[in-house]
Amino acid sequence: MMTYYRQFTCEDMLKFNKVNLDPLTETYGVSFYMQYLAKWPEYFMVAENPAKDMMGYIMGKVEGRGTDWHGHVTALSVACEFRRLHLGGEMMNRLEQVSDDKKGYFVDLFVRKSNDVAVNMYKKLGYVIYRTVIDYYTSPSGGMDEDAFDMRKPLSRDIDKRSIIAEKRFITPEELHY
Amino acid sequence: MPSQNSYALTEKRLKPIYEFLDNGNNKKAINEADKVIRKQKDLVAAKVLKVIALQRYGRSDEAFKLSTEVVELKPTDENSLQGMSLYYKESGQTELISPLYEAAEKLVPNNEELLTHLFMSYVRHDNFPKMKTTAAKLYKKYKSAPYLYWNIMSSVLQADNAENEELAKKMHLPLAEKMIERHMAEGNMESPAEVKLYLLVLRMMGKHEKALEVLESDIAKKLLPPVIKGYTPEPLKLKMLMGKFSQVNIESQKLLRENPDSWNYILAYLDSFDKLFADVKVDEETENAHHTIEQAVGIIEELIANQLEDGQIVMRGPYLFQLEFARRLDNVDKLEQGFEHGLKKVEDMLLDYTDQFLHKPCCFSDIRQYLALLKKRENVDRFVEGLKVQRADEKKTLCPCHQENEHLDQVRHVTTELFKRVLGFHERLENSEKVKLSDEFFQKFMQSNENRSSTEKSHLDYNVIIAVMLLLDIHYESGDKRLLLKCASMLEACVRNSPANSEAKLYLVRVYGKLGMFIPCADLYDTMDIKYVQHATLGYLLCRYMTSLGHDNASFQICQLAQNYFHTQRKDCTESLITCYRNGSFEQIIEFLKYRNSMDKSLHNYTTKMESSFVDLVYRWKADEKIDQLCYKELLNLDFDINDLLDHRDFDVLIDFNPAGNRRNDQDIKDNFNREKDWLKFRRLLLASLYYIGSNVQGVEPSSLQANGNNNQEVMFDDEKLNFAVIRKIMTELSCGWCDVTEKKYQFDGPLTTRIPLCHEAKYRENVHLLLRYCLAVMTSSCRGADDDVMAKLTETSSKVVENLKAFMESEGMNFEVDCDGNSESSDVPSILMQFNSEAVERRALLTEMFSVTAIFVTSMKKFVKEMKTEMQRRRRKKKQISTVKKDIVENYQHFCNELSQLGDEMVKNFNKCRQFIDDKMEIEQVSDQLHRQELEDKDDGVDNLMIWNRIISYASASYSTSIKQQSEVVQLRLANLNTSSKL
Repeated sequence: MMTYYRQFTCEDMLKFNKVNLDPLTETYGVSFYMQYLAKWPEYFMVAENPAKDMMGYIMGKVEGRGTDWHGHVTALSVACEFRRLHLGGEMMNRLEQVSDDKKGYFVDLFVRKSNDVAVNMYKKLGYVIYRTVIDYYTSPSGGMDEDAFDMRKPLSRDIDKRSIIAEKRFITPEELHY
Repeated sequence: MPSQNSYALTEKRLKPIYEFLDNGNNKKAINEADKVIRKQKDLVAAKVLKVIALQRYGRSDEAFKLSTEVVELKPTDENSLQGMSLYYKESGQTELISPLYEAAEKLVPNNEELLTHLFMSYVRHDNFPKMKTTAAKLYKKYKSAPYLYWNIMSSVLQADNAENEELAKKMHLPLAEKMIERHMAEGNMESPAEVKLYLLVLRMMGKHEKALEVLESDIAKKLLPPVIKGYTPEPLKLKMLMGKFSQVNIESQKLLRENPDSWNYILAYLDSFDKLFADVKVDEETENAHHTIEQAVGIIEELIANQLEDGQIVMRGPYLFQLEFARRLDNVDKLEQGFEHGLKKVEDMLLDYTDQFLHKPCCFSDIRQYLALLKKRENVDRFVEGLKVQRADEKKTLCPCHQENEHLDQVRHVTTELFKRVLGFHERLENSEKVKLSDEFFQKFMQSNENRSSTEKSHLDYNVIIAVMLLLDIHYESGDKRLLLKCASMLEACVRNSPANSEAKLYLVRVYGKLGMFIPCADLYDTMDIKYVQHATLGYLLCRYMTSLGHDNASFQICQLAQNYFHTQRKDCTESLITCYRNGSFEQIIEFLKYRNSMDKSLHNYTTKMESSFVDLVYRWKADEKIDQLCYKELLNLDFDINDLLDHRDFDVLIDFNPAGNRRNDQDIKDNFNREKDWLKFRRLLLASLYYIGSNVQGVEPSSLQANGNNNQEVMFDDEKLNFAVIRKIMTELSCGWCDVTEKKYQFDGPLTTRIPLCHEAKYRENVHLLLRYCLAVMTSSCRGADDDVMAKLTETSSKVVENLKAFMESEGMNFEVDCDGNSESSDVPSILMQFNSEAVERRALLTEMFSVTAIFVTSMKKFVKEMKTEMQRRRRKKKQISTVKKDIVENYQHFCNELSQLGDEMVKNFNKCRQFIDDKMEIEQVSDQLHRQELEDKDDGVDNLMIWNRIISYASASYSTSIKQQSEVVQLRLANLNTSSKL
């Protein structure tokens, strides 16, 4: 994937409009991005094309205890014109590498149940639906809440792939530890 | 030491207060705190909780008073200190946290927790020297490595922020370096953060060689994580800085062969190649490093050939590599030499790329920057011809019945047209051809049977963008409003079918702005969910139009929203700095500080602050309100250099499809930014004049003075309180005039022309200066007695002000209603939209603003003139001599007020007429008839078209009538002020 990769910086917030002016990409308050940069800078990556247009970015973190120590994908977004170039997969790959380096057992993420494109992409990348979180996404307009798939991919440390065996297939958001 | 029992009792007593606070029941929290304080007078923690509750309940004065009492008690317990810190944070007085902890630390000197909080309180206010001494104290006592690194980081920040660069180089950084090395020599380096800080210090000192040694040391290998795949390795960056170009080149060749699709490696290769190509002797180790064109062409061809082997995935990298190589050769005038040494012709390189990727939406963005390499017309023609052939070839090999293939063919067609546009093909068309082509592309969009997604824009939406750009080309030359309206209807159709297309929405915002319709601009802005940092980058889109189009209510809300963001982000940024210290993210500290400082100086930050104060004062102020409570005080600081502001406006959010020569460029943006700053300078002078005149007048009362010792008392004002010096300073600055009154006509997607040209035409600046002269003359007469020439000044200034206002009111383009030409009935744009002069919206709004400003100045003088009149009446009663000058001043004032009132009355009449016009003619039902409903319904897209036009008409109606209504209210408010003033 023809891309310039580097760590995300504060300045990038001034340039991410083309990526963020997308109905499925949330723009958060500055403190949200800064807390990620302050705590997990290596988990926040940006991809640029040769003309230095921002193609997309990924932000994540590492958390948990014991065998629950894992990487988490908080946001992955690719500008419309750079989709279907495997960029999302490439960025996920890098986040997995960072999590592997940090000796995580797995990487997990939440995705809207209805977002077939994303769910299929994650499946292709080796993620499985670990469990369903009921009504994880609350509708801001007062409409129907939506379930999330909690998807996971075991990392090299999890030799027996225990991390993808769930105790319960369906849980409520309150039962989530992270 | 309190016993366990008393501690438990205290906790028990405080618990309900905590609970009330947590539940947001602040009133009950106050009552409960009072109860506890009555029982236990010395319980500081209860007082602290009461402070918080009072603050949250809105009783901030009482909260502050109680907080000073708490401070005097010098609390040292964790709860009270944390509670007070919370209060200071919530009330925006974080500068008071340090003194609180300083006092506590003196009383309890060996408390690690206290010192840590003290350190963080200094972090909040960039107090680097105190951060350093506190961190040193912490390290000395507790020997914990993070404290040492806080100390070192304080030195780094002292260096990074030092005004004296020598001091940074010779003192702070060497000190930081020495401290780390001592720590390392003692074998104490244990975390990646420590190695990273060491590398940061060395990088700042320019000690790249040493940094490389550190990177390659065992300790770094042990502590630092491996390089993330695809990132440029740190050693490679350092070697580049050290001038080891051959090494970089050799290593990047290896990396490229392993991953030919990485732009990081391609740049490393080309950056080093450029140096070696320019002067191979710059580096001794040249063997195996590439320094000739043949070698570079060799590796490019090798990478392309490798991926064309069977079964390989074709990547964009190698093709863009050769184009980037050509661009760099062209930069040093060696492109021809490149061709001689095996580099392909530019059009062939471009076609190599498009042959594989013309069907991808990224195609245009990827190669647009290389199109400039097509130097001659024949190259351009060959490229475009090649694109057509590629498209035709693809079409031949694919089954046309397959929907996906049809879609890909359309994508190729749209991208080809975008290339043609950028390469100047549209520029050469006649206007009639442009219109025809525009229709064709719009019809293509409308007829496309693509299943459009509600969450993702389609590349085929560019059919509409192309259609719109063609019409905008003609509009740029002719200014024909009809074309803008057609663009609005096409873009509305696009947004309707492809609601996720933000590009179309951004075009629409600009189109509606030019049409004088603000409401759809604000609606579209909302649908794009623009928020937080996007205010700083995209807020300019609304900012230019809100007040200038007379929507002062919306303007105030939008500015407040932006100000909330700037305020919160500053606080958040500071708290994030503390997180950085706690996590050892030292590089981010420098980055966050830079970001915070840049946001403080953001153009949008200053503009929205200015505009909200301005709207509050000029549009909303009522005569009995205190003016000094309406302004952000920092705006009145005339010493703040507006030239220091920074431009964060994002224009690149719209891709520029214009041909060379007509593109949005950095110079235009810079020029426009300078104009914006010039505008803000004027705005500040205006705000400051209104503030000083208004608030100072409100603050003075007449006093009887012994004027000439013969018991002939005269009532005078104290001129010291009236701050004449500031007013004179403002007048001097106003008299300097605008830096430049003309402004270039920017491209449609470029910067937005400022309000300066129109304000210049309206003589706004001149009027403010005249008004200040007028006010100064009145005030001087009231304070020091009338000069001989005062009447001349007053008559001249007041009549000139009225004359200027009248001239602007009667100027061309001021009428809302215009005759539209005879063709309108047969045109594809509803005639009603053509009957409304959209330019008049901005002109009228400016007139309203000027009228309001004038009225405020004049109304402010009432106090003085009234005093003169009272004085005259008193003297008349006592049968004493009346000053004729003062009598003239009073008469002139009343005449001035009356003239302004007449003008205001006329404005209101005009507003009413206009409202009537809108109410009568812009009713959607009537319009539907005018649109030849039947005729439209006969067409395929007729009903859609009808709905879209109705939507535009209702936007026009709502926008224009809101603007008129709000303007009318302002004028009436000022008329009331004037009427009261003239009665004295």
